[in-house]
Amino acid sequence: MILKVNDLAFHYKSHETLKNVSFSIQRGETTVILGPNGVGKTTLLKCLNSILTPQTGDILVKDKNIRAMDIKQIAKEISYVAQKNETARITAFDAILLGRHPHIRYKTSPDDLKKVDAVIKRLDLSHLCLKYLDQMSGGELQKVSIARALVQQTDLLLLDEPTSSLDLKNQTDILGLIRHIVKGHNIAAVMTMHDLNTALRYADQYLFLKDKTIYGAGKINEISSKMIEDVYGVKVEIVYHKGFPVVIPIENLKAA
Amino acid sequence: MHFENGEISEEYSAYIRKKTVFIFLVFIALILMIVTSISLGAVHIGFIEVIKTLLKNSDSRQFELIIWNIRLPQTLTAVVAGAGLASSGAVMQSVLRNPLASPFTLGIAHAAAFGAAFSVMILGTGVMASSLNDALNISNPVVTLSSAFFFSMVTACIITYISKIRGSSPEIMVLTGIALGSLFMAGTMLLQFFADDVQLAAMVFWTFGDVARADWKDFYFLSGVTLCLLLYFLANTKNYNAMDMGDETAKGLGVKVEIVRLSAMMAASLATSVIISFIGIISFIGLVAPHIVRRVIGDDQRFLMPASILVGALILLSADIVARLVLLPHVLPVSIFTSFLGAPVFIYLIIKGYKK
Repeated sequence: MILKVNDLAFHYKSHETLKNVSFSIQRGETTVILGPNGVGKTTLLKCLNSILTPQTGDILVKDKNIRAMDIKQIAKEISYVAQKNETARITAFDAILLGRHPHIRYKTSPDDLKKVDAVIKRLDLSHLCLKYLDQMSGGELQKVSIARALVQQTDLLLLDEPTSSLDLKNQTDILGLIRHIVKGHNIAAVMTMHDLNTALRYADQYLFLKDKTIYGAGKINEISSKMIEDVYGVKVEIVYHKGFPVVIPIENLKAA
Repeated sequence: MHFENGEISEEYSAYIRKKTVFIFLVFIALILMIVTSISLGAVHIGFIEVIKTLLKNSDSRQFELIIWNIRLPQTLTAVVAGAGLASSGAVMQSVLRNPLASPFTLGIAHAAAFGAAFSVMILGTGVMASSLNDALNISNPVVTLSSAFFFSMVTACIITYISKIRGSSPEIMVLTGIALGSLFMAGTMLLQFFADDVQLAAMVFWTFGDVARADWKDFYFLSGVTLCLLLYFLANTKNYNAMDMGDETAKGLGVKVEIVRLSAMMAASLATSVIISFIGIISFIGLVAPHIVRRVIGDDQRFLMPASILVGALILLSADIVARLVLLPHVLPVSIFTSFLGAPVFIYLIIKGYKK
């Protein structure tokens, strides 16, 4: 087990956002956090690597409680790809090299460069290395962010809506890549997502959030139309096309 | 582009070389400008004579007196003040992720000026005189600096807090800066209202930022504090680079964002306070120098910071030379020329868009 969350609760001032959240994540799995807007998906993801500090509950990464870890130690165990990619006039190479920040004490070593080079080759980013971030498209920026997270060489990858602003080709490229890396390196990925069909296609495990807590969790192929109706309030049908599940909305229950 | 065997590729080396060459050229220009600054003035001293005097090998007692007592402290004060203000601007722009941030536009300079004036007038930490060059003689630099620092930190904390709750959009930051700057200017005007004739004249002269008023004692204090802060900024460039990627990404990379931001704002406020306490308000250097550098070599703080330090020093020194020469034998306060340079750049940034 790579991640275990016990009875986590978080609130912004007086507004309770998450309560009684418990789950675990295994190596080699891609888990997707699903749920309607404002249910706390991003908040949960941010709690997992201490960007936000939950008021109660424990988060154990490889059996170590992150409350007892320094932020730099956490960055050596968990990497995070934010939903919004900020840009600056620095090159993609330097932005990716920042992923070694938790590991570099004084000076970049040849070993750091080798690791960056390996990820650049793997993600086929060589042609972008000397391009400034503020000249890149959304898809290119997202790939650079993922490359930076991979260069951190952690066992747990957190991604906040990694495909939210991407076209279909970039979506399939990036999610395929994440899945490939998770399996190939035997690490784990947790990502938030809105698109159920994409989630069904690329994730191994699901985690539904509803009413500030976990409504259900399990293998992705166990998701039923009843669950989706309960969480989103929308009547759907799950059909199979060439072996892949596809969620089709039928009607809006509330509107009906 | 690849890094086989952990070695830097030729393409990347060439890219880095361009930045290094820029920094080197600015450094050479600064050295030349230092010699020029010492050479030019009401009494012209040739370059050879300048170098001979600096090496204590001159036959002219007059040149020795002019250079060692007047021009060298003035020149070095301009270099240190320019470097301190430019680095403060660069660091504020980075940690607030706001391209219009600088000690002047955020009102921190006005707060420091009020704090120093308050200390001198109310706490009696300086002697005022009604002449331009000796408008203010600070007898207790530590208390004066502490007062300036206190008020600039109050401003920096308000700015940091507002950036946290409302986001650090350029509009919000600049409007907050205008409000805070106006508040402290009103405070300074209140002090002026109750000042006697000599104090009033001294305060007015003092608000004309001018590097000529610093003597060696002031310079040692100014440069000691500023140098420590520059080293601190340079040591944190990797953290600032990570914060350029956004707070969440920086935290994910192990950067203690809140601590780095607050300590950077404190250090930048301290640099601004010490400079303003000794030489008055120098406007726009903190805004203009980093922007010139960004245009040429980009936002990478490893190069931006040292280049901003050098360009800031070069701009303030050049402005000081112009201020000394333009209406000879009268010497104008250098802040007039930094405003002439800075205000159009500020307007240009607003018109052209200030995307960082």
